[in-house]
Amino acid sequence: MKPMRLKPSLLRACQPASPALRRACPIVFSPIYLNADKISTEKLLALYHFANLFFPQMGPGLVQTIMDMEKHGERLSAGISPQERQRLIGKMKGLSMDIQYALKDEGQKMLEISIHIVPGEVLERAQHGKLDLAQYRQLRADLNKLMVSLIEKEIRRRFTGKVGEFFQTLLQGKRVPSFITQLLDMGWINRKGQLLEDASIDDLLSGKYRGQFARLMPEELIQEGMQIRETIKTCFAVGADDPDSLIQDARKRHALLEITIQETRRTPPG
Amino acid sequence: MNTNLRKLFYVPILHAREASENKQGGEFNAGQSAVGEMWAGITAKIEELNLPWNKTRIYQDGLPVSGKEMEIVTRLAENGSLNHLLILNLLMQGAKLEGTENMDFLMREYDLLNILLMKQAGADMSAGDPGAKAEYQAKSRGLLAQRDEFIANRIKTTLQEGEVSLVFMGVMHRLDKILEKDFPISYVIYRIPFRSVGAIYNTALK
Repeated sequence: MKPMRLKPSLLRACQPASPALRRACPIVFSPIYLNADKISTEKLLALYHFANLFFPQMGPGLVQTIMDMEKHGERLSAGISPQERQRLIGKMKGLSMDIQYALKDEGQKMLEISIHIVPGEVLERAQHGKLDLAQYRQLRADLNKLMVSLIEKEIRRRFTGKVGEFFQTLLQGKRVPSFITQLLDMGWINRKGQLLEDASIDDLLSGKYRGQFARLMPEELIQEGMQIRETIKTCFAVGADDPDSLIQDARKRHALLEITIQETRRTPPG
Repeated sequence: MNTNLRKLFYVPILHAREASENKQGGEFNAGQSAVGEMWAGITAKIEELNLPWNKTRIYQDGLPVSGKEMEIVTRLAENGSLNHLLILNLLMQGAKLEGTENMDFLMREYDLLNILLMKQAGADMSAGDPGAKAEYQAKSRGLLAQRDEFIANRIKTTLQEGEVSLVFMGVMHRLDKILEKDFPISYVIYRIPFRSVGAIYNTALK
């Protein structure tokens, strides 16, 4: 995984792929990579806990550090003449500080945040007296929502895969349990034991089939399912705090679809 | 058909929340938004894959089978969609574009969105219309499943042996779940973007 460089305020990104992107060289806050191929269900739970711990504490801590730098910079710049200030900024030219956070599983990076701070730019920002806490809160909320949707999706995929494998072994036995036959009849699973669209983890873990599911499934799988359910619940709780996100998303998709539909109806010129 | 030789690269994307507002004359302006920043990351990751472009088919969320696929992608790219701009760049490298979705399903989705947004506009601005949201979510969930089924069949029937597919799909889709039994799926590494601080500062400066 290629590390991403970034610089909040102070920070400039990145190793853009094209010359156009390189020219654009955005100022970004915190690019984060999730290496989905390296993430297992257990690791996802760890990742979720990690994210909960990592961002609320490290994130503001980091922002605080940066803001402190800016505040100190402000004080410093208030006490000196504009010429001296510029000279100081000039002297700092070329100085930079790199911080890298990485979550690894057996040496393979699952999640990585690299931050590149340029003190000269910190001072320059301090000159303009910008504070970033409100914006940071928004950034963190955005991150949470994105993280939640990815984690939730991956958790469901892994769990249904595991459950499917176990159903398959039950289906291959000489005597198929009635619980499995019922799920088959209801169209929740197919002949290969794979869970179909209508079946949910909740239905199996706490719905009508809870008793049979608990009796037939290995204890570890039940435990894992419960943990996953809990995690998803928490994820939904995190994701549910922005009632406008659905509407915002709907507006954007509506706009894209409108253009698409117009284009399909357009008569070619001539 | 032996599907073992067909590979699928799955790019989970966030719907272009800001892309349609990012009108910069067709050029990437990643500093404008987190969306730009996300697409810069996805572009870099796709380039790292070194795909054989002349054997790569691209499937795109929201792109109907219509005979006007290229025109649609071009128009959306012109309107600032970085997703579609990236696709145009990949097509220039030799990739093929496939119509992906059923037009009727997309029309239904559009109608559902219309109803939701109209009800929302008529509701109390602060509270919105929770009933309309719930109704939309319930109906769109079923429609999304139908769309996924169509897309899965489309990929299965158009992707040839020895070819690679690059599938750009919104994170709400469950297409990968349908396809994983037919194809080895590789996920292009997720990149979770933060909003661009640059964009925030630029807005603040205005």
